[in-house]
Amino acid sequence: MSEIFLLLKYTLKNRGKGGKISKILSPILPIFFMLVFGVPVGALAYKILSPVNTYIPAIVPEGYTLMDGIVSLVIIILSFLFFLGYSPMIIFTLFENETIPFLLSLPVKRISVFAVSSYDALGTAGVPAWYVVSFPIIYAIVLKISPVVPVLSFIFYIFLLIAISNLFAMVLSRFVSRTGAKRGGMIVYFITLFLYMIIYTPLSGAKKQNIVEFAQKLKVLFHISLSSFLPSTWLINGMKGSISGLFYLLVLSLFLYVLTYQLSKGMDFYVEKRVERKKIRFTPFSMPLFRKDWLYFKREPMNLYLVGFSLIFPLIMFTGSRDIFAILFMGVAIAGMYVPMLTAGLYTIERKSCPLPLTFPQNPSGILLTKTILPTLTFSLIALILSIPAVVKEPLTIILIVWFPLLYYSLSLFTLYLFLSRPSRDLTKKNILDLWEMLLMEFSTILIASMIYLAGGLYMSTLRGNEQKLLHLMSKNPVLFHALGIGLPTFAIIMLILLTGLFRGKIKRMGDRICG
Amino acid sequence: MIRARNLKKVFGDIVAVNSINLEIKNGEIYGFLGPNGAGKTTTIRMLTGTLKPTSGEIEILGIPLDKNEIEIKKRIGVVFEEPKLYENLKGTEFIDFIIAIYKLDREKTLAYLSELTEAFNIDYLDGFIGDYSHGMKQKLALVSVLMRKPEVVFLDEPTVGLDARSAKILKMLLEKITSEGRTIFMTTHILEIAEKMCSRIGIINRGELIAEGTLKELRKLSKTGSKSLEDLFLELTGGEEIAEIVEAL
Repeated sequence: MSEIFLLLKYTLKNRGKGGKISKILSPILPIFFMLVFGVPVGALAYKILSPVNTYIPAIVPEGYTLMDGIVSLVIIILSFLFFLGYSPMIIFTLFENETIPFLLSLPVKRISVFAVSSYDALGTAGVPAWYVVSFPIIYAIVLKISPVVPVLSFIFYIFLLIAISNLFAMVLSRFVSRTGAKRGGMIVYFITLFLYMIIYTPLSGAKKQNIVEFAQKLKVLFHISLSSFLPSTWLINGMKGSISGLFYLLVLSLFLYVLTYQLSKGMDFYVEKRVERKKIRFTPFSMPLFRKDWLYFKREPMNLYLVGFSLIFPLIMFTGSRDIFAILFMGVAIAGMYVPMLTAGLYTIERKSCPLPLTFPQNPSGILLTKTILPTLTFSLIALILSIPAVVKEPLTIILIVWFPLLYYSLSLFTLYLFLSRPSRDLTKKNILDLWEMLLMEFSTILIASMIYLAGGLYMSTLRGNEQKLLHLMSKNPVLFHALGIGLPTFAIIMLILLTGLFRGKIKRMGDRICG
Repeated sequence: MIRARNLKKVFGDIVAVNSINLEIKNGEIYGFLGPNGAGKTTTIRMLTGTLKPTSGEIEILGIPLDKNEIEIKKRIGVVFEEPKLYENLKGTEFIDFIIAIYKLDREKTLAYLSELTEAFNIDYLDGFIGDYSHGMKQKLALVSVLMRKPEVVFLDEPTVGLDARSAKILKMLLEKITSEGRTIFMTTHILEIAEKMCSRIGIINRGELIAEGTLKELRKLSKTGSKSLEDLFLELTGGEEIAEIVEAL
């Protein structure tokens, strides 16, 4: 165990090149995320589950309540997502970690190297567990029992999931390549986030009667999900205070850890050499720099998430909302966060290949400026889709919408400028941009978007006779009303044009810093 | 042809390369030797336009590097010791990318590539580069440069990561390239390769070019009458006390 802690200490130290604040914050981040996800989900789950803690014979097996049935289903689904996301991430972390050959040369057990990789992967893949972290507390409150056995049962259940995922990762590592593992892991991770959004949005408005009606349709599933052979049922029993549930979880976890230890002795850490050998086919590349970026964009699951989230989230959040400008504004604000992320991703692939890009017969600033095309086009298209209702309602809105590409282009340039200003940043981190950089860009986007889309949109709307609360008072002072309605968007657009020119010029001069 | 005058690179307080002068003619294989951290890679990076020198002038193929860098980059090829390529691309896509970015004749290049891939036993181009081993990436980097038939080839430790067969093929190919009048600038730690292949050798130590010439000319610099390049190299770079060090261990 001390061996694992030692390796972990130096692995994390090796990676931690961030500033003092990020070093202080990083150990408490998992707790922060657990609270961010766990507390609201817990409050919502309590509201939904506490009224249904009743035995309904026709729906759930004897000894269980409707609450147990619903919880068992949620736990089974999230457990699957947990291990489907976690196992590929373990493999990917093993491959990504360039120190593995060195670690294997040390007089340490293979299981220790595997355990370090396994811990490292838990960060992102552990998301499904955050949602259900409040369940043992909910049980303790609803059943009015001590939280000790429920919490311990939950902890051992998580250990069990980790053990199953580790075993699965060992088996998977014999068949999956590094690229396949990374994609698999990331896709499941994003599906989890989407599921959360999609499941909890309609549930949040649910009432007891609806849940019982809903549960009627799931009675067959409840009988399967509450089978006494399933570890999830042992967890339910444990959360209800049963010592036997806790005992079964403990024994199975220990058995699987021993099995993992035995299997790790013969584990092959070098599966990245397994490359498929097929008949090769060449296809002509037109616009090579852009095409290369496009292939990255298509293949990196994170990008799928960025695009999907920025399009779907505003639509889900504002389903049925009459405030179309708010939808538009939300879309712009989300894209304001994701344009820098996509630009950062595109820049990172170039940096990771350095000094190769500098050998091409191309101006380095030209290579850099290409990185702005995809983020600008993608998010402008999304913004255009989101703005369709606004245009239908207020055709004049088109005057404001045409500035989307400029806003995203300047944001993308700003991201590149930040990178070139501090080229020595750690590219192995999941978040390449610092928190303050993200906040700065988000703040700038929201400020400019407010001036153009909120002020401009409301102004047009008010002109057409649709009263808007914000500008209503000002409309009594015509000078102030027109000055703000026309002045703010005009000022913001002029600022955007100036900033775009400024950043473009700086990037052209700083192009040589592409490789740091 | 490669020419460098008073080439200097300073990183903060460290002088990585200190006013070195080089003149390499067409058809030469120039071996650039030196201990770790002597300034070999920094020199290659400056000569290939991937690192700006602090001072000095560079001419490649008679063109000043600071005047027409793009034109020079079209006509030279460089393979670095660490083959960092685009990991999200497949090998075939990387080749297509190189063909497009250098605006090469597609058919001719692919025909020559096919010969090269067969020679180097490359049958994995349909896989993602991110899944390749170090040696596989090194071979891809090599063929992606050689298929362009550049007039000057810079190779930084080209045999590192290559299997014996590929290393042998590379050595023979380099001799063929120079017989066509093209120039090769190569760094290597394997002194046997330098001794057998290079028409001239330059030895750099702590950023200074301390010796240069043919093997015969270098032997004349020896105070102890060293015959082999290895002994000569150690004598010139201050490694003659090796026996004493080993004895003390």
